[in-house]
Amino acid sequence: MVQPDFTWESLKNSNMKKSIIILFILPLVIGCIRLDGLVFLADNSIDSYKFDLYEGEVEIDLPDSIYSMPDSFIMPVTFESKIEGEDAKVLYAAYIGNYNNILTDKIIVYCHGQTDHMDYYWNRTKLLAQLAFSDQMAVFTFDYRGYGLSEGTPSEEGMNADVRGALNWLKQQGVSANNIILYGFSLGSAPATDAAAYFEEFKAYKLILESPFASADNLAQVSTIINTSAKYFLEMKINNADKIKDVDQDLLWMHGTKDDYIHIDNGELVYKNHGGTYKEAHRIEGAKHGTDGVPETMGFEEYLDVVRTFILR
Amino acid sequence: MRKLIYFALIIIGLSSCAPARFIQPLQEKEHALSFSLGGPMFNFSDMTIPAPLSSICYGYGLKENLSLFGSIHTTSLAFGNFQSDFGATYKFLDQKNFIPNISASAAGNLIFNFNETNTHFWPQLDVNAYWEHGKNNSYFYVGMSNWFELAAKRAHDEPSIDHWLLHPQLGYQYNLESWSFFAEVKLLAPTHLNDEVLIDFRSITGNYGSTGLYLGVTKKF
Repeated sequence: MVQPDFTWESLKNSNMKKSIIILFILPLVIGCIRLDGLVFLADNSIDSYKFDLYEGEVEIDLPDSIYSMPDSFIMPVTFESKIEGEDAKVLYAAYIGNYNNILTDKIIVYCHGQTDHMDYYWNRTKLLAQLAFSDQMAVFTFDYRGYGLSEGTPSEEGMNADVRGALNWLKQQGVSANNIILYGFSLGSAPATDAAAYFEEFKAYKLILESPFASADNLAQVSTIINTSAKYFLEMKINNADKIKDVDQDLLWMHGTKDDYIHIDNGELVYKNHGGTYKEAHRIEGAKHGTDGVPETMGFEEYLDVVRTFILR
Repeated sequence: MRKLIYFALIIIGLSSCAPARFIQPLQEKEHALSFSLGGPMFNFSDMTIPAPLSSICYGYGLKENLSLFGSIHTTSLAFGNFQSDFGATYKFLDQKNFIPNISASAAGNLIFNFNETNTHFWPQLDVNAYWEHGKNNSYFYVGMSNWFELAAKRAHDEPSIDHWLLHPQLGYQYNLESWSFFAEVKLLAPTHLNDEVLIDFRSITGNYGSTGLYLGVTKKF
C-alpha cells in the first residue's frame, strides 16, 4: 500500500509550501464582521421631519383628502434613552393626537420598522391616529437611536432601551400604564415585545404585532432549510418567539398570508407562544409586508376597526 | 422594498453547497489546490447574479482511485466562522464507451463560529457520472449532491424542515497539463418553494429552490 508523504521535507521545495502556509495563515486572520448594522436601514441624513410634507419614499400611500391630520394634533417631542454604562441619547418623537387629553386617551406607542425614519412610516402612524378623532386615542411614535434626527447608533439593545425611553416620557407626563398599547411593526415587533414582557416599571396594557419576526435564527433556517444559526453572522437575536412567552397582556396579531419578507410562519410561531390568556389573530389573505401590506389589503377602515375593537374590548 | 442584501448573502453562503470536489480523483500522490467562486442565483438590484462566495480546497491523491480533500470557505471566514467541507472521493466504475466513470464523494460540512463557539455539522454524499475526453481527460459530469440534516429540532423547538436535501448538478472541467478550469450548475433544493423566504432566490425551476452557478480553477502539483 502506498503511504502518503506529508512530511515538510517532501513539500518544502515545492509550490505546496506556499499553499500550506496560506491555508494555515487564513484562520489566523479570521475576520469578525457582524451584520447587525445592516439590519438597520436607518437614514440619519435629514435635518428636520416633514411629516405630511415629506416627499421621499413612504411605506404606504394614504389619501390625504380622507386621512388628514391638523397641525395642532402633531406635537414634536424629544426624550432621552439610556443604555446602562453609556451616555443618554436624545431621541426624536411625535405625539399625534390631542395632547390636552393625554391623561385620558388610549395611547398607541408605535415601534416602526427597519427603514429610514419616522417620515417613512408617517402615513402608517397618521392612519392609526385617525382614532384620535373618534375614540379618544393618540399615537406616540419615535425614531430609534441612529434613525432620523435621533442620536446614536442602532442596535437591538438600543431599540429595547429606546422603547423604554418612550414609555418613561409618557409616564413623566402622568399617563397611566393602563392606557398604553404597544404596537410593533416588522422589526419594531422586537422592542415592542421586549418592553411588553420585561418593562415592569411601566407595563403596557396591550400588545399589537403586525408582521413580526419570530427570531433571527428562525429567519435564517426558514430561508436556508437547514438548521443554520444567525449567530454565524449576527449578534442580535430578535427573539420574539421566546420573549412572547413572557407577555401576559392581550395580544392582537396581524400578518399577510403573502408576506414575502417575513413569512407568516414567523407570526404563527409568535402567536402560538403567547403567554397570556387573550389573543386574536388576523391572517390577511393576499397581504404582503410593506406596500400592499396589512392595512392596504384589509382596507384602511377595516384595519382601524380591528385595532379599535381590540383596544376597547 | 429594500432587502437585507448582505444578510441574505451570508445566509445563502452558509447554506449553499460549494461545487463538487475532485469528481475525477487525482493521480496517486498528486496534490491539488483549487479556488472556486459562486453560489445560488438571487436578485440583486433587479439583476440576477450568483452569490460571490469563495472557497479554497486542497486535494491529495491517496490511491489511484481515491482522493482526499478539505476546504476552507473564505467568505464565511471573514465573518469569524470556520466553515469547511472535507472528505474523500472514490471512483468505482471506469468509463467504457458511453458508459461513464462513476465516482462518489463522502464529505462532512462543518461550521464553527469563533465568537459564539457555535458548531454545526452536516454530512454529505455526492454521486457523479462523468465522461472523459481529449488528451488531458477533460470531462463533463452530471450527478446528485445530497445534504443531510441530522438535528431533529431547529430554533424554538420546531421540527427540522427537511432531513435530506437533493441538489442535482452538472458541469464541465477543462484540463490542461497542470491547470484545470471548471464550471458547474447546481439546482439547490429544487423541491422547496422559494417565494416565501427572505431571500429573493432565482431558479430555472421557477418558484422552487435556487440555481447555483460556480466557477473555479485548480492547480495540480
